[in-house]
Amino acid sequence: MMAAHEDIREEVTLPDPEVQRLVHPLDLPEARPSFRTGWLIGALTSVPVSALVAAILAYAARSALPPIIAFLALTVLGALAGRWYTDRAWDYIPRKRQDRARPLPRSWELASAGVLALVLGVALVLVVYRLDDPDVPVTVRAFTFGMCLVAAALVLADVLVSLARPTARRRGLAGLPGAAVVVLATVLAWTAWFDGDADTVLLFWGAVTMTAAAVLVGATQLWDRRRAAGR
Amino acid sequence: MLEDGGDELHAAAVSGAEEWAKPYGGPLAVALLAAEVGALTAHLTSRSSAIRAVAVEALLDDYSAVTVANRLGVSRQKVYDIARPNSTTTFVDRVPWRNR
Repeated sequence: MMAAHEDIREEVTLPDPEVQRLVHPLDLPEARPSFRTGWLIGALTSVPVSALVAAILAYAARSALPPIIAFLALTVLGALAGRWYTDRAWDYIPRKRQDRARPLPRSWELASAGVLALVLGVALVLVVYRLDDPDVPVTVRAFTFGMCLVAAALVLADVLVSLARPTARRRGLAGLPGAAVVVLATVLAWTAWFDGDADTVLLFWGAVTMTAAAVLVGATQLWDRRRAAGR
Repeated sequence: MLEDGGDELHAAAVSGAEEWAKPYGGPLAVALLAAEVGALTAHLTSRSSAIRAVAVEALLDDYSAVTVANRLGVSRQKVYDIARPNSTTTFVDRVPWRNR
């Protein structure tokens, strides 16, 4: 430390710089609660979670304004509040010793994926039961189910491939709850929608449509990545 | 007038003499001169907060915001408002009344 700094002493009990140079709020008992609060707010008000909550609300309210208000309030206020709490947690650590790059504990990532999966589950169950109403013709259901099938297979394949690759295992693990919910919803849809009267031709065409859409998206992404790499 | 930071003007204004503004060119001239003194002091205020900003910024590198805020007697969020890296404004090098 410089001689000019002698009259100020660090009041936070930080780990010895020789032993541990970089510190994270989770290492400090006094910073941990506000960091946890900030992360929790962030997990509960992330854009996908807010969008799903807004979708559920749109279904319940049957009008456009409440979900828009809910979505904006959740994302904007949530981001501000979460940011405020995490900032207060970082206050305990000198800037040169802040470990900004440290990944969160795996259980935290899984928990935030669990929140998303829960809301996704509610939304999907609503969709399943809405389409089960008698005013929806069975042909629509068959086509939709074909699309569902391919979508679920794609989501599941993505997670499984990620889990198999050591470098992407974290991402795969985080995607696991969401994928499980999607698969469960597909199974639920099959049992709820059809009593052996599924129109297999329409089901097949639904699957083809979804596959075509997926190939289109995949090709766009691949082309995008190629272009980014070539630059 | 700026060389004494407005001392002379102030002394004249509080003297209670009948035509105290006369030597400086009348009340309008005094008002304008006093505004000039004000502009100078505002500039000095802004110069010192720029110095403080750079110093606090340096403190935040080595000490936690909690410690810095406690020592400065301000709230934790306020510390980040005070601190600013590399202020780009240019300031006067010396005050007019400093002995050369």
